[in-house]
Amino acid sequence: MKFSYKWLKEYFEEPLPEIKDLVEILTFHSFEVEGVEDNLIDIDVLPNRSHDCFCYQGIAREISVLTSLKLREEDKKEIFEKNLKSSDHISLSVKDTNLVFRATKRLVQNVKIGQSPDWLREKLESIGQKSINNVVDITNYVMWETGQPVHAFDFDKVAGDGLKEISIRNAKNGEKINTLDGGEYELDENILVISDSEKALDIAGVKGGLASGIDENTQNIILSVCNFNQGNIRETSKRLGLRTDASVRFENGISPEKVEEAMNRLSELVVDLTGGKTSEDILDVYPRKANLYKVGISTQEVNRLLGVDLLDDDIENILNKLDFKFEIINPIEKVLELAMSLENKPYKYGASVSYDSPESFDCSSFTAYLFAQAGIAIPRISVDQYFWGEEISENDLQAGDLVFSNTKDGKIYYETLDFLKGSKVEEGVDHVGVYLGGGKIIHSSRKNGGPGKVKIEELKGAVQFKNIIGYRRISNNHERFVIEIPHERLDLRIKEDLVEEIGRIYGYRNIESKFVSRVFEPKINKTFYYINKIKDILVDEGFSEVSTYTFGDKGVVEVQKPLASNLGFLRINLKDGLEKSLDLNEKNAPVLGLDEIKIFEIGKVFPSIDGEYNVLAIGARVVKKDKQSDSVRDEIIQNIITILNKELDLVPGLLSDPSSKDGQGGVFEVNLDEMIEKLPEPKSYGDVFMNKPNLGINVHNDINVEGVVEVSKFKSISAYPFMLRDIAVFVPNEFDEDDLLKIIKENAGDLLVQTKLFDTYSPEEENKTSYAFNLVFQSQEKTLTDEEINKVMDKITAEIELKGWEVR
Amino acid sequence: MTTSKKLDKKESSKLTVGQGGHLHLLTQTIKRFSDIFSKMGFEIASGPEIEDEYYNFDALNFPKNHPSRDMQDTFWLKPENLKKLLRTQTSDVQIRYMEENQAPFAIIVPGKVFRNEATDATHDAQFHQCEGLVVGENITLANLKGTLENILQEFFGKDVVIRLRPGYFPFVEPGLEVDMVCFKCEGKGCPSCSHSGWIEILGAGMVHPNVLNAGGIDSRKYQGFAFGIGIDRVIMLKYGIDDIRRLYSGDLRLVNQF
Repeated sequence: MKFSYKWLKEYFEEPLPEIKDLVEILTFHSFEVEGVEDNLIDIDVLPNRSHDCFCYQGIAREISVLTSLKLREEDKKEIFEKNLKSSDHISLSVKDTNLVFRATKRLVQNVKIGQSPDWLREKLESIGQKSINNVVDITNYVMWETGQPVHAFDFDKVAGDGLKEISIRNAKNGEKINTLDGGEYELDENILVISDSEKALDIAGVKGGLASGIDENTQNIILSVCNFNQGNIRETSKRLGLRTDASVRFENGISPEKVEEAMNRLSELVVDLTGGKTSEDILDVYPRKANLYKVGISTQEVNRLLGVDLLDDDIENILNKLDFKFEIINPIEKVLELAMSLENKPYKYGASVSYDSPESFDCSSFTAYLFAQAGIAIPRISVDQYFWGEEISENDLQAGDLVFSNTKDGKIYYETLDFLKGSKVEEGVDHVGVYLGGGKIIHSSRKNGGPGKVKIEELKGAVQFKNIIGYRRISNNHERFVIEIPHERLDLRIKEDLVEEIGRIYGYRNIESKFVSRVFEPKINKTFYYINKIKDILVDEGFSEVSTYTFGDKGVVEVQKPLASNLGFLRINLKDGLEKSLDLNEKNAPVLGLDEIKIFEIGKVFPSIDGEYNVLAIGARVVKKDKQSDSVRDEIIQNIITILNKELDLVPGLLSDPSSKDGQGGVFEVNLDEMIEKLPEPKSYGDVFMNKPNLGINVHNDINVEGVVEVSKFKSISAYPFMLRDIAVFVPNEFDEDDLLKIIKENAGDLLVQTKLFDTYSPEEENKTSYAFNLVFQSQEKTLTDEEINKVMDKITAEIELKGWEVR
Repeated sequence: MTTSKKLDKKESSKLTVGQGGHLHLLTQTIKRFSDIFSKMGFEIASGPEIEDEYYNFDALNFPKNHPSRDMQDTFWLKPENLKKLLRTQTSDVQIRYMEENQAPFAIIVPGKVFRNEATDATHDAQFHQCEGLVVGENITLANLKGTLENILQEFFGKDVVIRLRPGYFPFVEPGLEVDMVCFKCEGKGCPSCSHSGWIEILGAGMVHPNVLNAGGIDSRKYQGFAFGIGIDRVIMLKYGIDDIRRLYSGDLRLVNQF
């Protein structure tokens, strides 16, 4: 997202660092900056931070953390109109609370629609947004500022004479809506709409509807700020082919708490800029408000993962910089204290730690909640907690340890469900409680009187602990930082997330590199070894390796959405690709200086969806066609098969019987996996990692004797046709073909791209030899003409004749 | 009498490029990395190119509604109900290897991967990656940094300068991007590096505990790092190749230059 430097500056009292320094700080600690143009900083917000940093407030907060510059505090103004109530004019209902996490509406009366003030227009224009009118501009602005999409409906265009009944519901199949951008969409039952009693007003989370849009005659408006299920918005956006700034933000996921912040900001600006009067109340449907997450970490855990030696103070400083609320606690003390305070809380089977705590619990949500509050994330389910904790004996039992039992009543778990899923617990577990010391246990159970509750009782004699199967220690009670995660940081959920926060603020460049010593004895990969050995043998025999595409127009395994209609299948052979490669290279044979094209490829083929295997394919073609060329070609293939059989020490005929007709037609193909299976296990990679420069096997082609990397750079391939010329010259015998070639090259210039000696001839009893060369000319920039090449040839000829040599 | 002789292979190769065979740059580069890594104690692992959604996404901690599972990024295969795809990264082998082996271990996974996105000079529907994964009791981010510096210096030369900055991949936490000083301008800033002086070379991070968990490795005891090198990108940078698609064109005018 592109951020205006000028706009960002307004969130701070003090001046910001210069752009170039800001870019550096952001890159090293937060996000890469893709570029800067006209004071617009293009920040590549990472996907896990799109919840909170896809907006000015988020980036400003981030800059404040990194630079320690204070954010400007906004004064809160009382803006509402006494006695004006939204609830007198509008009702709001949500049909499916799994799709709508929060919805708010607020009435504003007597707005004056007009142009936006300059500051607002300039801001929007600075990031390429068109100014429309004050209300629309404000909604747009609030989204860029807070990251929360917001909308305004024209109150008087919403159906209903008395109370306007607004609902958020699924669209009817075939229901149509015209959107503000002039589009018309046909909806279906999976798509959410904001609706009045008659019609859809808006494709929820995606685009506003035309029928309720703000225009110059609008007098009363309904402000609308909601939070939707991100998956549903993504599906809708995909299905309609409509991606908007709003839908992208909802897809990323936003904290429902932001709804309120955005509604307040929106109301304030609307009142301020339109002169409207806003209601006292906000209609707010918020069925499930989540608890703030708590995540804990110790200094030792940070150091263990990062490989650094930070002190408690360092961590504390970084957490303060991040402006996180945190406490330093001894986990067991916290667990015990909190547990006691929750006595008599009601039992609820399947209670959620995020939503139901601390008002109701089942046995393991109770323990999970206690330890989460103490900064230790343990699995949610009793059997997993049993597996997760450190085993201790009854004699070692201390306050804060967990006691597990098998009540033999109801569902008993014999393997883990989440942590190391499927790990066996033969004793069977279905209940857990926290040992309080002094022989007492606290636990949540449906059998603890009435409908069930959290109860403290003597462990001995407790009905639910008649059949104890074990004791587990969760914490050694070492001090931890327990951080209350700000609501907008949906990315911070486990201690490793905090390690990242601490690591990036500390700065990865401040982490000292450490070498890692060998951790184990690696096995030799047989397939890798033989594939590379075979490649080396082939290269040794003058074959070059090609790599072609896996996709083609025929095959068995089909791609659901191919890139092109002729790329719909996965290949079943390498032959087709190799044939194309042979055609291409045959055409370029003069440029390549080749009489024979000899190539191979090793790669996967896909005869069925679960039957892929490696294939070796070898192709040959003789460039100059004559009576023998086909048999020469077949001989090349037969010859290389014989060599491979011999070099790999294969049982004769394993690869292919040389007397068979395999490879006739110029391409030979064999199932390599099948063949390798029959070969002995290699003891080491041995020669496959060795350099064989004379064979063109250049594993280390880029390192010279001093160990310095020297890379030969790619010479670009011309898109223009090449031209051929031959030249034959009698050279006195004290000279040789190299001397001749030197003169040719010196005078031909860059256009000469390939030369090949194709004939020598020494007349008897004469002190001279004729050397005949093919010369290949090609330009990188254009199609060459005969005249141009003739000129070059004339120059070469003239120089040679100057030497007194005879051009034939 | 005159003698006219046919030139044999040896003599002709003395002249210009000659008739000798060449390993493709992909093979040369993968061999080079494999050599460096196996000398450091890494095992070379491999896995299938047709993969299950589980190994390619679920087990690697991709959220259920992660955009990269979409059609536009992944080649899903028919029939739809099998949920099979062409792997989008060689990270899938992380899980396959962990299922079969106990920690500690160090592996690399060179291999072909596929992305369903419009092709251009720097993007192709198929390309190659070299994944790395090291898991042990005390494998740290400092070890990751040391390993990467070592590898890149071996590969690009002693004077290579790298930097680590925050990055995001679902299967690591913390996540990192690793940049190298731009080859073309040596850090001064040029169009190839969008005037930043740096070029992104690989992604890395500390293995997410959910990934270890999915692989059956106890994340209370073990931790590790992972990284993924884009082989094609490295080749293009190192040798100055202008278009990734040349690597898959079957064209010896490229292959025989190296």
